[in-house]
Amino acid sequence: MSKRMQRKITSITLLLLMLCMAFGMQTDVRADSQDIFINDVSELLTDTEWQTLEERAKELTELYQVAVYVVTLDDFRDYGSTMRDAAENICPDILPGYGEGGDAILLLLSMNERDYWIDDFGEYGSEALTDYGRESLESAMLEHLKSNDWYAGFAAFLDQSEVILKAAAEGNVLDREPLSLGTRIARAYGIALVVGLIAAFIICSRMKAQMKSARRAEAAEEYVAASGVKISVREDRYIETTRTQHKIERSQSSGSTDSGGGGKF
Amino acid sequence: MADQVTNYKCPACTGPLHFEGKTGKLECEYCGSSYEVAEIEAMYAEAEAKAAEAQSAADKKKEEQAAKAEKEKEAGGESWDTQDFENWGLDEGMKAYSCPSCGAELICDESTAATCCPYCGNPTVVPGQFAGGLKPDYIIPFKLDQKAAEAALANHYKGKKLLPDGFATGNRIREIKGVYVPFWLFDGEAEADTLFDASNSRRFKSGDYEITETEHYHVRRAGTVQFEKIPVDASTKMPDEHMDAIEPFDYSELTGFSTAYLPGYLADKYDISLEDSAERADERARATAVDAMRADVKQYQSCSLKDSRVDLKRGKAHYGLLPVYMLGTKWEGSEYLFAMNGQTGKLIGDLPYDKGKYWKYFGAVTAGVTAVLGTLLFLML
Repeated sequence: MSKRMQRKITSITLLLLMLCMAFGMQTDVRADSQDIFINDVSELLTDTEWQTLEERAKELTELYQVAVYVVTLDDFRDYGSTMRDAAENICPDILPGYGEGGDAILLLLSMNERDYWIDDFGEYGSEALTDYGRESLESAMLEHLKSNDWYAGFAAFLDQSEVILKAAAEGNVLDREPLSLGTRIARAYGIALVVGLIAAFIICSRMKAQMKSARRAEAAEEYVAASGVKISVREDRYIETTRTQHKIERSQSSGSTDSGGGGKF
Repeated sequence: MADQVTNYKCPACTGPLHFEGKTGKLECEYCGSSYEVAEIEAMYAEAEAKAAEAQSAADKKKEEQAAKAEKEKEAGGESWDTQDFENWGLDEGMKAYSCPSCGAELICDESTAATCCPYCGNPTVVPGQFAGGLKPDYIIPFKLDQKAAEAALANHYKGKKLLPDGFATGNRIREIKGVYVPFWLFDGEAEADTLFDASNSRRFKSGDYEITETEHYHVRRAGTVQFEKIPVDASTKMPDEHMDAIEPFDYSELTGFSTAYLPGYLADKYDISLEDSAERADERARATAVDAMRADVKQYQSCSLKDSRVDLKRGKAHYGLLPVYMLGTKWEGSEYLFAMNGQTGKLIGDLPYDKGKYWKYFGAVTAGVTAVLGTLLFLML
């Protein structure tokens, strides 16, 4: 069976599984899909590219015992209402992760709206991928994805995944350097000083305003006669409805399996 | 020749009577007798009418003399011009009266209607100032005394953290004057037609997006607002800001005017005309009419005025005397003026602030917030 055929089968498997899940049917397709790491449903890669990446992902998975997945879809809504839902429906139900713990790192792309989502699964997978690790994956691959260089983007994702997994295997999870004492003090008290100055200005301005009480009257509400207000015209005319929207930023916290993060590319 | 003023004298001992706000009666400070306002009013009605007539006749005679002297001057007569001798020492706008108790000459502003003799201290009322067409329609009698004004001033200093040290103790009250201030009281109706931009918004989540949906409306409200007795002070001697800020007066205690309420207090007749005062009442009525229309726009989260037209129908104008205590103080060479509503006790007046204290509080708040918030943030980072 050619590699292209294998990719097609995987793509079809993904969709079938979703349909089965939707109708509550028992499925046993794990075994078919669990060995495929680059699930290119949107067919962004050539066979050669796919094969190279697939081997690389498999190598990483076996070496670090955390499955590294890339899934490309035309529309994530086929798998869930949000990118997060789609990622959580794919992994571990379709792509099981590594071993009993289901440890995995997943990159999900939805091509219609050019969304990406990076998530981690399993206890070890979550420990290995911190916020900082996810950001390092994003900065490694996003430039390539923005210029539609899919192979380079996925390769960068795999390379950076190796850096993350290697560090975790050595017991040094890739994370932000803790702030130095001086930086913590400067940041904390710098912010507090600005807030303090604003608070002092507001409070002292109010105290100063108390000193002035002789003011010219602008209105005369005290002198409106009892029942002296009579409204004769009440017209409320609908004009239009406007809509604004902004994407909800989700941040990942390390150690949690239901976290993740994403954006546009 | 100085004109005559009136003292209200105690029928029992002929001592001077003054109006006592707490009791609402005229009291004699010598024998302690007290009399209802109506009682004294009736007793002095005839005398006041005669005094007013005499005042009017004296004014007329003065005018005739002035006209005669002018004529003689024009005719080239050789006689000396002595017409100014009578008012020697008086600036323009001043008048001289003779105190009926001690005979001293009282030099008053021409709008003064009630005062006290600086020599014998007896309260005097100038007849004719409130006679005929100049008679006020209403008066609100004083309810509070000078002690209440002093206490209100002391209370006014409380809680003012920026007040300079020593101001409360070293700021000597130079004078407290109970003054019946002339006010024009305007009735009227405002016809308002207003247009507002209003909107309601709702937020909801759809997938990875937070969506804000805003419905926009043009809201029109039109109607009428009736006003009763919008007060505008009619005395140039009284600062407008002070007179506005001591409002409101309780109009349920408005009563028909009588000079018997005046003894013991100062009183001026108006020296700002009805026409000149009306514009201020109009401004306030316009603003309130728009506010009333806006208050009827209730079912929207935001509402801003887009356009408005207010037509005013001026109604009856009343002339009233309202009770005000004016308190003058001096501290470190600067004078401070306070006003207290003689009916409700509301006292206002601008106070100085200590720049040193201002910066001290500024520094303390900044340091406090920085220390507490900074420590919390430090622990969180």
